[in-house]
Amino acid sequence: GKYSAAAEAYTEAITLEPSDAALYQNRALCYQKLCKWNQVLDDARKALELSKKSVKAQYLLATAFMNLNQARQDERGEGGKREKGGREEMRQGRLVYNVAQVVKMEERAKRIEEGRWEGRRERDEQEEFSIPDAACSWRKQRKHFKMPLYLLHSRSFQVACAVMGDCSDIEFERRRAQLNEIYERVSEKRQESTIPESLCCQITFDLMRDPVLTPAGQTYESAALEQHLKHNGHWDPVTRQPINPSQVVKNLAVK
Amino acid sequence: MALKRINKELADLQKDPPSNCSAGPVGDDLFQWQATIMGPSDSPYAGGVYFLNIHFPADYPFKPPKLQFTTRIYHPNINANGSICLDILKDQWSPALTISKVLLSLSSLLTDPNPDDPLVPEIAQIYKTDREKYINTAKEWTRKYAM
Repeated sequence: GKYSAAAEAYTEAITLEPSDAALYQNRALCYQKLCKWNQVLDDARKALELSKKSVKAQYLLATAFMNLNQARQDERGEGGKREKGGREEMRQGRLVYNVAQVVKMEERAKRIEEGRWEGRRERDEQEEFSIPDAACSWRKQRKHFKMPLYLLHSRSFQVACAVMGDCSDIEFERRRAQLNEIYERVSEKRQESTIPESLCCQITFDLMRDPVLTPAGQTYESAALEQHLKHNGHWDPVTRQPINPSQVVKNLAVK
Repeated sequence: MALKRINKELADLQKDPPSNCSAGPVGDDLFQWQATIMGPSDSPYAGGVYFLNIHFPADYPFKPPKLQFTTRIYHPNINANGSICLDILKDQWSPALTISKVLLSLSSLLTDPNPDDPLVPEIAQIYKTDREKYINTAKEWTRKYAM
């Protein structure tokens, strides 16, 4: 791409208009594409100075940290010294928490957009519940190889690690509590909004894993319908139409 | 299964509460709820607030929940113990029904009693033969017990 050229153009623009946060932010985006993390860091900081609430700038800042931190660790090994500046910024825990939330929301939006949430839901649930825990054990072991692959590739896990990575034990507990809280809130929200009603069983009110279709045209979770037919008789729970259990078939379309 | 479904109903009730009734767990036991129904405005129970106990069986939603009025009410289908005669709470129960729908049905039972399937035959008889007396007694009980 022409990110270098774009970055240069923004540099010119900044010379002319040094108080516009958006210019720094955009230049940081260019640097991000070029993986120039130190520059991303500087520009994101500058943008945040000018516009404190910019989510984009916070996000860029966090990304830069994650990559710089990673690079440092790769270079010097686990016990290596860390730059003082980086540590200072890490202490601004709240900043990064916001980012964790934003990133999570972003990911969620993307997932829904892609329409791929269906099969991944179970895994995602697992992922969400395990991120704070995983980040904790990451901190203790400082080793990646024990982590499941999907976690390593998940940006929210990386952010969580950045949050948990560099602080005293007391601070660590406090952050873990906060992180847990965030994830709880997010997963509550997600549960509220992500399952379309058409994919929910009218008996369990939950996403159908093994949907079956009755002759009355209704779809239910297989095990739930079976239990209904056994307990209550051979009729459709919604339409009350008599049905013959042998006519219940798998609903492959819904699945 | 039962607990999960009860939790979902509770969440739905909180998210989208029905206009003339409310329901929720009494304590930590999610199988034990309390509900209130406002007397429908087009009935002699208008202005009254009726309390009910709800008990979910362990095999809910395959078996119906048990509902019982704790507020006294003068009605052909509700007796002095607060027991209710309503088909969907007995043989017409369907696992696709919810507490919210049951409360709605109860609300319409208050407006339109069913004297042909009575739990208190005396009240049913009065309802059928002397509607004015029924209305007056029901209003009196509402004032006495439900306000």
